[in-house]
Amino acid sequence: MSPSVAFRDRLLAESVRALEHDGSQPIDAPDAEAIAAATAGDFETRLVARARVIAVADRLEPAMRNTGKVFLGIVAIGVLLAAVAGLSAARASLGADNNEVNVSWALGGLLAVQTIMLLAWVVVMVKTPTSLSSLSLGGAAFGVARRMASRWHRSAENAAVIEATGAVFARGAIGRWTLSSISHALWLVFNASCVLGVVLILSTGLYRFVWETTILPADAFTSLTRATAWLPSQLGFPTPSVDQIAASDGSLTPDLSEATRHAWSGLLIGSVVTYGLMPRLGLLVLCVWRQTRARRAYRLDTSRPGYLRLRSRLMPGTKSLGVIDPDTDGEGGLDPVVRSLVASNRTHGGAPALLGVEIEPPATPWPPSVAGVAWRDLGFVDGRADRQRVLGELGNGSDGPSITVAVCGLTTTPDRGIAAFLGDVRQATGVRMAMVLTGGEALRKRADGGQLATRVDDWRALADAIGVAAGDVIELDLDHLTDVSAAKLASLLGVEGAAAVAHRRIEDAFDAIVDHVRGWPPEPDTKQQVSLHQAIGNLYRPEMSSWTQRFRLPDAAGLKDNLPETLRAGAQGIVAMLPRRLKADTRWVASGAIAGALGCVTAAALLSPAAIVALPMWSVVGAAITAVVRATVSSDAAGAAENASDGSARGDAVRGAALFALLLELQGRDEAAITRILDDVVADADFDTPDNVQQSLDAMRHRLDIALAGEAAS
Amino acid sequence: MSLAVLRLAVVGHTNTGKTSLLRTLTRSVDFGEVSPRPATTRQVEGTAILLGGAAVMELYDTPGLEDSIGLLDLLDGLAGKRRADGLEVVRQFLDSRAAKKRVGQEAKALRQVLECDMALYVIDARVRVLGKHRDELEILARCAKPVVPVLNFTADPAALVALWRDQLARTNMHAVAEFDTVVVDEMSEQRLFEKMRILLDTHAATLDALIEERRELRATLMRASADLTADLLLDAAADVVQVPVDDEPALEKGLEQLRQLVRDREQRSVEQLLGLHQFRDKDYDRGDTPLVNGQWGLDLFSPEAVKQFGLKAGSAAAAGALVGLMLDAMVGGVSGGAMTVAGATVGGLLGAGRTHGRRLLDRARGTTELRCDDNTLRLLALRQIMLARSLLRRGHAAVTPVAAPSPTGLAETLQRSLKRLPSALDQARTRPTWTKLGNSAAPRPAGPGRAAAQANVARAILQVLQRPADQPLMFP
Repeated sequence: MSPSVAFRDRLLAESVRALEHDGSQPIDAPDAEAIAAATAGDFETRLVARARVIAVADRLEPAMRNTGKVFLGIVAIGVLLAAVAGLSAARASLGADNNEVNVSWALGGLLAVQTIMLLAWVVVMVKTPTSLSSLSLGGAAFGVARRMASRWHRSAENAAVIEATGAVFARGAIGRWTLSSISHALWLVFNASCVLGVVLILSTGLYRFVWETTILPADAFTSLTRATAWLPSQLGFPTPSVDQIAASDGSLTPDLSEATRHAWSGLLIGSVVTYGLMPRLGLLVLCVWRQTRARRAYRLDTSRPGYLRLRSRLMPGTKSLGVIDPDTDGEGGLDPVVRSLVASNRTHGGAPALLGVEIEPPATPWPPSVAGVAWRDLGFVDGRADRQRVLGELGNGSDGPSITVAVCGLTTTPDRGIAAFLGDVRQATGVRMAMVLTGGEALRKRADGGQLATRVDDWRALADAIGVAAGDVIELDLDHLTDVSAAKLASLLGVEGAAAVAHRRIEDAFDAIVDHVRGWPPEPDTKQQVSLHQAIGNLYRPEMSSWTQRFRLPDAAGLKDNLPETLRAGAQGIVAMLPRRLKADTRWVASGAIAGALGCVTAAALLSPAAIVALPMWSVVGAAITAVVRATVSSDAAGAAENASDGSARGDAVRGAALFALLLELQGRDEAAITRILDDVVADADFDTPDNVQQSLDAMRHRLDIALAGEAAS
Repeated sequence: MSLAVLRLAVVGHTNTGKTSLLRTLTRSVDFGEVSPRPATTRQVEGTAILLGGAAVMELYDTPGLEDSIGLLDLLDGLAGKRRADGLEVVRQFLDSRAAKKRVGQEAKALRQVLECDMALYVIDARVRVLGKHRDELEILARCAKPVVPVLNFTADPAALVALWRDQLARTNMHAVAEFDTVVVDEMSEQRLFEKMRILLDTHAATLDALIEERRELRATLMRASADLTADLLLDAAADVVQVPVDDEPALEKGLEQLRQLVRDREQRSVEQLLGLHQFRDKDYDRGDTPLVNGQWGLDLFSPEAVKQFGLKAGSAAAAGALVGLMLDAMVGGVSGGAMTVAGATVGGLLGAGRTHGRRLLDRARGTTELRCDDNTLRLLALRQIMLARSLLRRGHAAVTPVAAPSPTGLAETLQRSLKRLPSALDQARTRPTWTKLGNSAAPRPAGPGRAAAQANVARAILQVLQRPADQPLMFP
């Protein structure tokens, strides 16, 4: 496109590419790239511009000259050899001892081989031009030159130039015509020196031309010779007449007349010129012309990775338009207008009002049943009409609610619209407002746990902006309402003693673990592990209606039909609750899966002891655990896990049981809270021998105390 | 020829991925700020897509519409009792004081919509259709500009695409685009442009040119990825390590040397591929490429790596993925021990006669050669292809990993398509000069023969790379 880009520049660009080709990154050349990026034109033009000014170009230029010299030198040697070969061919075909030249042999000797080569060239050009590099004289010369050049100049720059030169000059259209040009040039030289040699030999010696045949008729030879002589005679070469041919029959007395000698000499020289030299000359001109055209048409293949990776730097696809309309408030988060709202905190005797703000109805019944609480259900608020309805209802009622509880979804991004509405609600009622954040599990399924924490923070910021006290914002998953979470809700509303909060039993549970471990072999079987889990489950039997929910068991019939899926889902559920740190640790993933699968078995046994007996539990448990571990950790880690668990099956079993006990102890909290506490409590320790099991569990219990104290304080 | 510049305002509720959409459309990781929090973008910022150096599309990122209900109330209040034109009321609102205060963010977004030719309304498809969304659409409708709703996060299992489409149809929006900014489908961008074209035929030429350019660039990227892979395969196939015959420790050492060379070469190829796709170190470790810390988690020579791709790790030699040579069998001097001979490799080598003479000489000198076997080459190819395919799909806006199904099905498809390695690789086995491994001290220029072979192999790889995925291409 751009006429300013010369072929040599493109060759330079190719050399730069060959030089940086092996690197993971292109050569770092910010200046050159800046110049190139400022160059007008397409990507290729800019690549060439970069190659021209890049620092290594200074070293590549001499390398290109070196390589050029070597290549020219080799071609020169080739020319020399061709000239020598031509002379010696002339000598060989004429140099008979007795000065008698057999015309057929002389012509054959001078023309046969090169004619065959010419035909071969035509065939190769038509059929497989790519094999020219190995099949032609040009290809051979090129190969030798390449080897010589890489032997003599052993720098990275030279290697790059040789590679680039090879790629450009020995492949594609340029390669086809370059290699052909060299071939034809060499043959041309051969023919020229042949003619020269023949002329020299014939000028300085007396030769007798004869023809001989044993089986062919003499006429055949005559007409063949005339046919051969036709073309040279057209070009003015003297050729033997029919009589002269007949007179040169080797079986007769040879005709030594000058005219006859001239005629035969003319035929010989003329044949080499017309059948050898002229075609080669014509083809050389053709090939050089085509090569020039190919060079002119040559473009860099910008889809080569070495070029393409520069594209974004040299030809950026985007341009920043900057900030059009800057942020004038400068305040992150919520609108300050809402913040100025001050609640009067009036008190009313009415029932607590409950409204769901842009949430889907939760999986548990609405309004959530809390002992001792009769809700004033304001329903769900989805849009403008709902908002007006709720504000109207709250404004009209003579007996205002004692408190409004707004249930918001953690999957929803808090926004100023919601803040404004809740602010309006506060203003309409003038009483304390509490916020329940539900749907944490749904959000966690969507993304990682870190996002959950951020989202909770954002909602707390919103609560703060509308004047809701931090203590009045609780995370509580209404999709999984448990006794304990209902109690939490009750205490938020100030309803006392609504539900019994679980008693602490972790010491007993850990003691049960130690007892069982003492009786275990190094690799406890599934039955032994299940019996430990059942012992732990029995300790928490009073709250079983709460914690068995976690495993979402189907009824007895469903359990029988879907046992593997149920166990896998149970294992998956517990593994999902693990903090990220533990999820990265294969052993803890395995332990979580054990706790989940065996927890399922335990819960099922507690809920319907009769149904569980008939089930083929033992074979399925292991499969479920393996499946979950494999699905959770990357497969290399899973491989490692299999190996590791071969060695410390007891360790995995103990970790699983300890997790199970912790889960039961922490029941009633929503999953995010459990995950947080587990993150604080669980640390890596040895669980291989009964003694260090005792120690490790003690340490864990200690950390649990600290975590629970921290939770109570907040 | 100059194309009409298309000006687009990207609007939507807060935290729906407006900035992410912009980043993905402009392929720039650096534009704006992306976070899972509300009101991350609080200003109007623009970026232009260039075609041959000239801007053809201007995209403006706007603050999220947060209080559409309040805003619609305001607009209705302004309209009052007179039946004013919707657009007039919006203009009136933008001039009012309210536009600077309580709903300042919304005003910025609306002002930009009025400035532009078209608005892209970005929707978080995982969220239910709520009253506020309807109000947002209502407000946009009053701006009297064509609007293309863009459903984001459609790859998430929780996405409610049908629900949203139905709801949008009810507000008379039928040209809806699906565009997941985390998992980018190769066609979704083109479909988005096509939807825009339907609504704005004045800019059809611009959009056509963009579609064409993106398609070409993608094809080019594919070719370049195939080229890189072919280069890696030739280097690995041609690499040879010489070891003495019947010397077990030396053999082990030679094997490890060869393994390390190939491992390093693969890692370099991974880095080149990442560079090619414009991913920087800190960008690619997000869990949705098959890489960990920019590296393959599984060692190339581990049995798991072979298994992962459904390749058969039948013999012990294949599990180690290297075999000793081979010609020993031919000259009758089968040495025992680790000189395991894999039939396939022998077959491949006996076909090519070029270096047999030298090998016989080696044999006489008491040395033999070690080289990669077919399975290693296949594994190298498959891993590069998988990586390239995942990079081709990867959005530039993702901030969180993607939960994705296992790649097993894909791996099997790929594996079947590579049952026969390109014949140029067999050729490479007999050309030790074709490799650039292990001799960085004395660089040997690659000849045209290698370049031709590389082109051949790259063509074969490209075919596999272009194979349409029967299933979404995602990685764990």
